Order: sequence, then C-alpha cells, then structure tokens
Amino acid sequence: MKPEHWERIQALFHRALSLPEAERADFVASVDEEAEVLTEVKMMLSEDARPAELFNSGLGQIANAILHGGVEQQKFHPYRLVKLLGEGGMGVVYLAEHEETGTQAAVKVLRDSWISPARRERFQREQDSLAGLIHPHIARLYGAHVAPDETPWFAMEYVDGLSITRHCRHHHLDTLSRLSLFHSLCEAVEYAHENQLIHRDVKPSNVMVSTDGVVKLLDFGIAKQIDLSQPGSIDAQRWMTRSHAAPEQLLGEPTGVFTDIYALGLILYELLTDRLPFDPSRRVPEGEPPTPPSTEEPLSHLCLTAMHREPEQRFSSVSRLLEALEPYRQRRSRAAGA
Amino acid sequence: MEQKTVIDDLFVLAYEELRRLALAVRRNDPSETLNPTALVHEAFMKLSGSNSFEATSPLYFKRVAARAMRQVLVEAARRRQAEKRGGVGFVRISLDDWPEVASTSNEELLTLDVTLRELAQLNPRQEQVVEARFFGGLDVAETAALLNISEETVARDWRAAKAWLSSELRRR
Repeated sequence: MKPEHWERIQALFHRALSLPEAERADFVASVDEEAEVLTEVKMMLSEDARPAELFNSGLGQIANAILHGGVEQQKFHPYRLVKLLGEGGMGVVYLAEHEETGTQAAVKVLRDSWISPARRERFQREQDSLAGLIHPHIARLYGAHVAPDETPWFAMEYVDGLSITRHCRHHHLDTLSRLSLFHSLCEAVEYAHENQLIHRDVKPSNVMVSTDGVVKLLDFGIAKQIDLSQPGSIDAQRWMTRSHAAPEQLLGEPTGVFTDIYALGLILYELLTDRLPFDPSRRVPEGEPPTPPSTEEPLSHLCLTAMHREPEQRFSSVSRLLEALEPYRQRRSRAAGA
Repeated sequence: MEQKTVIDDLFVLAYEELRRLALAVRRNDPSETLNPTALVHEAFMKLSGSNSFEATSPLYFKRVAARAMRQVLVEAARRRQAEKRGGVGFVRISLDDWPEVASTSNEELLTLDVTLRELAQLNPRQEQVVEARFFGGLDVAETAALLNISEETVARDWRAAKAWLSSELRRR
C-alpha cells in the first residue's frame, strides 16, 4: 500500500463511521474508488464493528503468556534441577542436586540474559562478590558457569530454613537467643566489609536461619566494592528494597559501610519488637526513628545509634556495634544463667 | 546521563517490572491480566525519587517505557520462537501450564510488530499513537500531549490503526 492510498482509505473509513451502521455498506458501495481501496475500507469497518481482541485483552495477557510461556532450561551440569524455589525480575532460583554427590545446592539462573548489559553486569557482580567470600554465616558460591546459549548461572549453598525474623517468631525465641543470631549476622557483614564489600541490601529476607539454627547471609546482588562506590548513581538505588533502605539510599546519596550499619540497626529493631519503625512504603526518609517500644535502654540506644539519620552519627564500623552489644549480652547471659 | 544509559536502565526496569507484576498477578489470580498503564506508572514512581531522573518528565518516561516494553516483548517472543524451533539443545522442563497460549501470543506479537512497522511507512504518527496507547498504556490526553496533536486526532488515528492492524493480523 502507498501512503496516499492509506489517506484515502482512512478518509472513507471515517466518513462511513459518521453514518448510522445500517447505511455504511451502501455508502461504501456507492463510492467511486479503486477496488483495492474499497476492499480495505470494508475490512476495516467489519473489524471496527467487532471487539478488537488483541487491543482489548491488552498487552497484559500477551506479556503474561510470552514471559511465562515455555520455561525452557538447559542442562546445568553437574546439577540436576529438583524444583523451582523462587522467581524474580532478575532470575530464577532452583533447588538442585549434584548428580554425583547428591549435595543440595541453589542454582541461580539469569533468565533472558540478552535483555541488557546492565542485568548481566549485576548478575556478574553478585557472582564476583560471592566468589571472594568464605564465611560460616555467608551462603557460599560453589561454582559459576555459562550455558551453551550463553545464559549465565551459578550454584551456591542452599539454605533450608526461614528468614531471621520469621525464625524468631516461629520458635518464640527470647531476646538473648535473638541477639545471638544478630551477633552472627554482624560477623558476616563485618567479614564482607573486611573484604571491601558493602552488601547494601541487608534485610530479613536475605538473612536466613537454617533448620539447624545457623545464620546465613544471602544475595550479594547489589553489593558494591567499597572503593568503587559512586555517589548517587541510579544503579545504586534502583534495586534496593524501600522498606529496608537507609535514608541515604532513599535520597540517592552515596552509600557506604554506614548503609549496612543502618540495616543492621533496623533488623535489630525488628528482632526486638517484631515490627518496623517506619511505614514500609515510605518514599523519603523521615526523622529519627522512634524508640523501640518495651526495649531495655542499652539496646534501644544501640538501635537508634545504628539507625541514626546522619551516617556519621552511626557506629563507624560493625566491630564498634558489636563492642557496644557485647557487655549487654554478657550481662544478660549471666543473669539468665544465675 | 547518557541517553543510551537511560534507555538501558528503563529497559531493564520495564522488563523486570513486567515480569515481577506478571508473577504477582498470576499468583493472585491466573485469569487476571496485566495492566500496562499501572505498570508504566509504577515504574515511573519507582524512579521518580532518584536524582538522575529529576529532569525526566512523566511523559518522556512513558514514551521511553512504551518503546522499551515493545522491544522487550518482541525480543522475548523472538527468543521463545527460536527456542521452540530448538536451535540450542534445550531440555524442556514442564513448569509451564499453557504452552499453547504462549505460542499464539508469540506469533501474534511478532506479527503486530511487523505490521506496526508497515504502518509507520504509511503514517509514522500512527505508529507512535499505537505504541503509546498499546505498549505504554497512555490515555488519549497523554498521547495527544506527547505527540503534540489534538485528542480528536489521537482518537481517529487509534480507531483507524486498530481496525487496519486487526484486519492485517487476521489475514496473516
């Protein structure tokens, strides 16, 4: 078709539409036009008269089908996939078993890796971050691979358990036991910092407690090398979880060790009170966090210091936080033992 | 920020939002469909707080997001088609319950994309109207403001384009 044809087709189409429906066919028949143009107008009128399935059912249905239809996966040698554990924007996580040893692992696959370099970089970053970390409280990387179609994937330690907050509630843990879990988490974060890595997304769903009670820190997907941190980059903000983001993350300001300290303070707050101090959907940081209710003074003070609005007012390192926590823990455990 | 980076960021965002939403929707009610308007809106809200996007108007964002959405879906559909033809030694794991629907949608979307490009040859503005309305979920007023045309023109373009595209899709 030529543009001039299209113009004539549309003009007739709109003129026909301005008439009552019963008169349209006669009108088109009466027009002195090329047959090709008239055929097109008739077809368009008949389409117009019926519901446009594609456009009405909308993009959503199509998107749904395309993005979900056909979960084709390749072989993840030497792992055999057992079941789907979770699925997010970034990738898919499967529970897998080593074909020879039977060891369980979590296999993380970057689905549709071709979509953009930024996604591949982020996936790669998690892999690189994990590769350097060997700690009893950090889920370990077993190996990184690329599938035949260039889909990147890696296998890591599978943690069967609950998030730290759910674990505490489920087992009705007392404060002392909760503090002990928190202590392990702090050690993991401190170890990452010693390795020049800021986690930047420490939140309960990334802190698992295995069925045998061991804390494991997961998901270094947005971790950043301390010396590479760039102020206010969109990348730094895009992936964070708003409910657990530090004020500087919400504002797009530089992140640092102090960002993880804030997150630790927030987790401590949740562990002590079973709730969040703020509205989780907040878009901008509020003032200072409220004092955690029914919490002993040294602990509430510790929480509030870790979560101070101003990064420089927080503990300067995880070890400082632990130093402040230790005397209290010891006193409590002596009291509990007595 | 470089234009390319912005597009790439939006691309990733649109894609991952779409996937995330699709998952959430399917979990709640498998028969419910996604709402592109809400999707693009949510994506914008997510970004609007950040410094890098201060200069981005909602309208500009929606335009880029509409394009990103189209490209993401077309690319995804293409890949799925290629996988179905089995080029790369795939092993199918039966996690999906509706391969039939998927295959129809793949073809439908790819045909729509080709047809839209033909429409662009006939009238570039109409392609933009369809892209904004269908892929970006923009309403008539927003589309008019974006393309600097009257709402009446948007309505006429949309109706004619829809009728023509539908008849082309039926024919192919």
